[in-house]
Amino acid sequence: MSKQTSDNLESWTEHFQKGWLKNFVDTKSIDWKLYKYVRNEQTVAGKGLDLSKARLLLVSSSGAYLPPKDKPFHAANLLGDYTIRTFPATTPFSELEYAHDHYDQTAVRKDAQVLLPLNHLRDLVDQKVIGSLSETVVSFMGYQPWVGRVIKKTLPAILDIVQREAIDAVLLVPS
Amino acid sequence: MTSWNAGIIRGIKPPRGTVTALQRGMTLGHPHDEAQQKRVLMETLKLLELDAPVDLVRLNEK
Repeated sequence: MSKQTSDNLESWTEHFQKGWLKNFVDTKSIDWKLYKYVRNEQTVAGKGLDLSKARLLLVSSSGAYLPPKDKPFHAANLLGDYTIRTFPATTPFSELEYAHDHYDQTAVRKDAQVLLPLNHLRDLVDQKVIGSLSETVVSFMGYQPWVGRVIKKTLPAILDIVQREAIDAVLLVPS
Repeated sequence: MTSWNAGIIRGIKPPRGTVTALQRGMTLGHPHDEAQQKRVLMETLKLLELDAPVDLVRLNEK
């Protein structure tokens, strides 16, 4: 993490704790007028890669999880849930459930590929457009207002999988 | 990444990304519209072949 990003996180956290979070603690209600969305000053630089040789990890904020192996996310927690769930990329969509109270799940329950394009990605591997697909899909519940917890808990958990599965590229599909 | 929420994505500044006018909960396209889902997916994935950062690419998908 760059010094600049770290400085931004400190000022963001101070604003969050004195505003949105204090209001929540005091009133047990959410006031989004007090919330400041992240405005990064820098972006990540990196070399392009040969997609046909790359190993790709799908990361979804859909709140998908695989019962009974995993418990649902704490979707009703207004402070967010910063844990991740994983399931095999070969999991039939019919076996997945979704725990996320902050988007309409009608579309994903009709056709999971609106958020989890696993069949399309497998087709692209078969067509040699993509080198390979990771064995694991990473899912989290994308209601995460506390940015510091994303950085300290969610991102390291995902990075562990990136390293363990020798991932070259990540496709993030927010819900 | 790809997103329907241009405002938040501009603030996050991902290294590579596409933005659509699709709706929350259907980020890659409408249910069972495989052609649209594949278009959004491919336009997003091909950005991985470019050196980052890449300017956000707006896709005419709604």
